[in-house]
Amino acid sequence: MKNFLRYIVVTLFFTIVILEIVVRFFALSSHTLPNSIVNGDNLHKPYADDVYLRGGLAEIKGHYVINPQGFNSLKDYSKLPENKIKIAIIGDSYIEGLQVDVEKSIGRIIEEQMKDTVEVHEYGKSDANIVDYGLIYQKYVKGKYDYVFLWVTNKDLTQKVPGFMGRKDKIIKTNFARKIYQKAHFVRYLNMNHGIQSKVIDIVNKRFSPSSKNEYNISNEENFLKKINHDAISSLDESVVILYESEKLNPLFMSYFSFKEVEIIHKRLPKDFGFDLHWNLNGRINIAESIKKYINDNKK
Amino acid sequence: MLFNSIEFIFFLPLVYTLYWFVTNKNLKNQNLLIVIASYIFYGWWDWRFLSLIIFSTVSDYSVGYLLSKTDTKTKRKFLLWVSLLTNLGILGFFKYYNFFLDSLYELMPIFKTTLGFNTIEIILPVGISFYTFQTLSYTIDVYKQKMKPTKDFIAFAAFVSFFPQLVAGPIERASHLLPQILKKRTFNYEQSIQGVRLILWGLIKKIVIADSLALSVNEIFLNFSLYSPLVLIIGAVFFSFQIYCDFSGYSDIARGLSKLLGIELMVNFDFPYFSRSIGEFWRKWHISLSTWFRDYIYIPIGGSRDTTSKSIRNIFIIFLVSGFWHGANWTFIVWGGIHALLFIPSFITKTNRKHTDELPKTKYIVPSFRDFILILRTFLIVAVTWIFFRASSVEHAFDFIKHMIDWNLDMNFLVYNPYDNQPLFKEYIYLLGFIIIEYLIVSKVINLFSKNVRKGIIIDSFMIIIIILNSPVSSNLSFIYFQF
Repeated sequence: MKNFLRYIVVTLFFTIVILEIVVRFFALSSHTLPNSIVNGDNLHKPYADDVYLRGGLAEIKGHYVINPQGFNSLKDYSKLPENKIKIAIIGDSYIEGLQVDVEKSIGRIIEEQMKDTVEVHEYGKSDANIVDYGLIYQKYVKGKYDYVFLWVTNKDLTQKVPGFMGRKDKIIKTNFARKIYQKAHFVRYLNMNHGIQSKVIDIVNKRFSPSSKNEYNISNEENFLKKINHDAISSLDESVVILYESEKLNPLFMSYFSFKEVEIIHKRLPKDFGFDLHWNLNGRINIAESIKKYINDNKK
Repeated sequence: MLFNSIEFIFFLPLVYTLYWFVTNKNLKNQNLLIVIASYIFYGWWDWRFLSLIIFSTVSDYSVGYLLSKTDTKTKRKFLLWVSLLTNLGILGFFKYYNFFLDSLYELMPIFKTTLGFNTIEIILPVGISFYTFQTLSYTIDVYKQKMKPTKDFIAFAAFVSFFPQLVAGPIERASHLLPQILKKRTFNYEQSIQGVRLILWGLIKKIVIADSLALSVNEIFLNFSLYSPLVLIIGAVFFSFQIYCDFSGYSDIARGLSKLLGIELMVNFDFPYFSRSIGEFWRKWHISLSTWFRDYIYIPIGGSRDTTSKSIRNIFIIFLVSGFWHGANWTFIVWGGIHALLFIPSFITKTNRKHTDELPKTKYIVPSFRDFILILRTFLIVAVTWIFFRASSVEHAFDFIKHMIDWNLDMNFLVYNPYDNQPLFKEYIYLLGFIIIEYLIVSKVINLFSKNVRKGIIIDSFMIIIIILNSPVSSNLSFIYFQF
């Protein structure tokens, strides 16, 4: 048994060394996206400019540029052009769009498709929820834009605590373990490219936390109205247009609240990566086209 | 729980530690651990279906026990029927109820009548066909007095639910697995090293080959009318390797895990795609199922001992039942029927036992030209029959084949994956590499179980890295054979 355990330990050690070399040599792991407190909110570090990588062979590869406001965008949101239609899109990682080049974000595609007659600002951040959306709307968006689109899914609606707005406590402190994490490319590769941490959290949530099981169970009307965060929704107003996919948003939401709506129809097959409609260029084009059609049909 | 999941990465070391360091002094405790671990492993999908395994365990243990208490022929026969009806009744209800009802509905207009029943929504318990056949082998062997029934209920429960092979085989015989469970296991270094290597090789087959081919195969079979004949041929070939790597990968992992626990499972695949005839293919593909049908159906109904016409009937029965075992769909029955038609000519000409020698027959590593042609011919025939296996309906399969032979020289799709528009280089390289490695193993140039420690460490590390680099970000893909 001793020999066998020794064999396993040596094999694992050797594997780690080779994996570290392979990951470094082929640049398969991205640096951690640095975060920073901007205007009291936990956002990305302004002016960060790097490549975001995910997948075993880094199949997902996106260039990101963080603007002065802490969002992934080529635009500085403090400058709003006078002669263009101003559009804001609020949402989570879907809108943040780290999975494709920032030059091909939803906003840039809309601008390109509408021949630069519009200016689009994307307020997207992963882990955002309805509380963040309400706070973003009040703090950054209200009264400044001609059109405001909000990407919503069922799981966003049930949250009671913001994911990043006002969350100074969530800033990652640099300690010894963090430094090792930053230095060891293979650890970052396993965690970020393969999502090990989130998979483990998923398992724990699914198996051992009964509350998280019920969180998404809002298919019936009674549950739905009980579970969703009405306070956060009330901080939005009727100028907000809800952007949704029918399989990800309970139809009761649209019938209960009087928001205008745009349903995203995925006309194109995923092009860049197969497993998720959102994490690819065609997914973005589908959203951009849905928004463009809405603006053309509802010109102010 | 899937072998290729995060859960299993935690589950296995925990079970292994408890198995060899905590319960190793007492066989009963070790077997009890196998039962508990197996129930957790199975219950991870849906704990409700554990009741079926427990029911099957209790009923077959009881039947075995009662068979040992009686010598009366009629009583013994009655007990056997109780076991058969219980096991096959559960299997029939969960797997075939809706199929029979749907088929009856389609027949009703012919008789100008209607049915008073409706189909119901039934969830098919994972691996039900596998463990049902495994427990049946116990009752039948005890009935035929080929083995003595066990009095150790825990050991019997461990035999029925043994987690490495519970949901997708190999379908073990009680006479092979049960004695190993009843005997104290001692740790064996070489067996454990072999186990690790088999697990890694199985994961490579599953994750690197089967899963990377799955994306293209799914798209090609779904939207076959959009693609050129060349793409459809690629689709059929890809599926042939997908199903082989998926299923034999599972069997390898199962055998490897068992070796880690000091238990040997039977070899389920013996490099079937290097077969030179259909007869040879069936001696090498899903061996545990083929031999199960041979021993418990084919031979009892007469096998090849009777007249030629009766033997042909028996062959048809065995292939059709084999097809039906895979699923409640006419596609599987047609698939079985086609294989029967392909096998019968060699049976009539008594050439079905040909090609029992090993490859390569030449003094070089490569096979002789004649063998190469025979291998290619057999593979292409098998690949075409897989279309029926993969298609959603018999019409779908025929339409697919019709498009496939509607030949034109549209070569554009050859280099692009029709699913994501990316060049197909990766899939081709992996597939080619895999075929070469498999062939080198068959021709004994490579020994997967090299005893050289340094070589072993390098091979295992290399395999782990290949698996990590090729694991998809998305949720784990299930094994195809779970549905059967």
